[in-house]
Amino acid sequence: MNRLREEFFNFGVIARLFPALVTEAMKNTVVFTLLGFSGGMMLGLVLALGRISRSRWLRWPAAFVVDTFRGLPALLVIVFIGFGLPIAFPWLHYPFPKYTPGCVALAIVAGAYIAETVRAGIEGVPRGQMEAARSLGMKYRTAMRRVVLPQAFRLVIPPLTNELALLFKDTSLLAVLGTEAGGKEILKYVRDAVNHSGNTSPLVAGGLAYLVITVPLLRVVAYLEARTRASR
Amino acid sequence: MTRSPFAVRTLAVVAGLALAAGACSSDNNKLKADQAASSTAPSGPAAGKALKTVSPGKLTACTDVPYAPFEFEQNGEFDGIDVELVRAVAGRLALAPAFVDVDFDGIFSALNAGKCDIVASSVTITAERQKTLDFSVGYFQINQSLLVRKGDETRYNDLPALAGKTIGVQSGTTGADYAKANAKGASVKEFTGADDLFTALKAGQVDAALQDLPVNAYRAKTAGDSVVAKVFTEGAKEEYGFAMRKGQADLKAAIDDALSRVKSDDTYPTILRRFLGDTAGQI
Repeated sequence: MNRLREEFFNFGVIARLFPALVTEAMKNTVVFTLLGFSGGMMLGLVLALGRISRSRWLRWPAAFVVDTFRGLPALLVIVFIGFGLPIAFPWLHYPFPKYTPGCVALAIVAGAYIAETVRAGIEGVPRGQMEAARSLGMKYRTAMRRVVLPQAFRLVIPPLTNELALLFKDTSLLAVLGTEAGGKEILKYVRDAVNHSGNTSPLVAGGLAYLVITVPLLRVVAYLEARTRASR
Repeated sequence: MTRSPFAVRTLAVVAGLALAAGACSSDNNKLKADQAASSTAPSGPAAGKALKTVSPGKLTACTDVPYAPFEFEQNGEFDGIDVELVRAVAGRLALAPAFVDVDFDGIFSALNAGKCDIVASSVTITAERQKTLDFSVGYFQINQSLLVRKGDETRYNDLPALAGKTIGVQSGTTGADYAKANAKGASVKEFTGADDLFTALKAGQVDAALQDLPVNAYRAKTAGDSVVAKVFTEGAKEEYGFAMRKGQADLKAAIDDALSRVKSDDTYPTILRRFLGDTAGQI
């Protein structure tokens, strides 16, 4: 029992993680997540609209991209974007190398999943909504933007939260590309601390650091969800 | 140095699965290989004294593969300087060597959980670690070195030449500390595993890799796409040792004794020559 405490809840070791665990590690995890998720939302929306398009020249490429990146491990996509492309194209230099390759990879992975979620949301809006809007003389684009998508987004908030939580955890994979001074996210930071101290307690602290962010986030979304349901 | 191969995550996952599965075939292969090696090991003078180990009659070592030339897998067998040293030490103690592949992050937890008797995985003896672990006598002294892409060796032959460039290191290593302290004007990028670092060098994401000479030298020798441009011989040396749980005086004494004997006879230089070739003398 004592050994368990010594090995997993060694407060001396944990105390030394601060403040960088918050100011560096948690901050970077949040930044990576937000950048990846914003990119993923944009990409996902485009891909979703492509997937439901009436033109097969939009539908097929969109389906191809979605299936490919849903079918690949995120780590492989990250390594491919971060190392594979620069090896293949030596002239390729990423601007802001600290963030770009990793966030682009995360956005692609998230975008593929979000696309399917958003598509399901759009298809979940009753057909009559689009038909009614069109019969009032709205163009397809206008009807989609002003009538269907707002209703679809209400439907997809819970599954999108799932994507956000998954992406949040996938940021832990980015360390494979290397980290510059001040650029470690939570998992990388605590793994290095384990390595330095020879003690496992930093992993416990890191786990708590993730939960401190995810649990309130999921609660807030649950609240929003309850509220939007009430307003319907 | 200190490493934490998050290395190839997939490998770690595979290793984890193998461990979880316990009796899966790749594990059996490793065991077979180790038993084969042990059957030829001579029983040493310590044979009479029964040493208490986690698995009776065996000296079990946790190691994180791959970290060539210290530990790696070849044809389904563990090989490398650490692995051969463990085999030699176990032989002196009349124990059969056994190996468990554990990701470096979890390696001390595995030790404390009783998965193995020692950690033999290029572990540097540090004051920080000595607070929670015991170490054997040191068995390998390390110089830091600079590995660059082939063709860059005259351009980037020392740290000042890398001002404004990016130097890759492994997180938490003395190489990382050395780079941060001495590479003025260069940005230092940290990687978890040597393999990621080498890929980044190849991909042009870093311009040099600063880490333990044997690892850089082995890469230069085997991959042929890079060259060791500089060896840093000044400054304090660090040393690898076998890590053990605290409070095992018998085991520590036996290991220290066996390791000292291995170091003082022919065995040690033979092992070094096998893995390091001509650079053995330099290191």
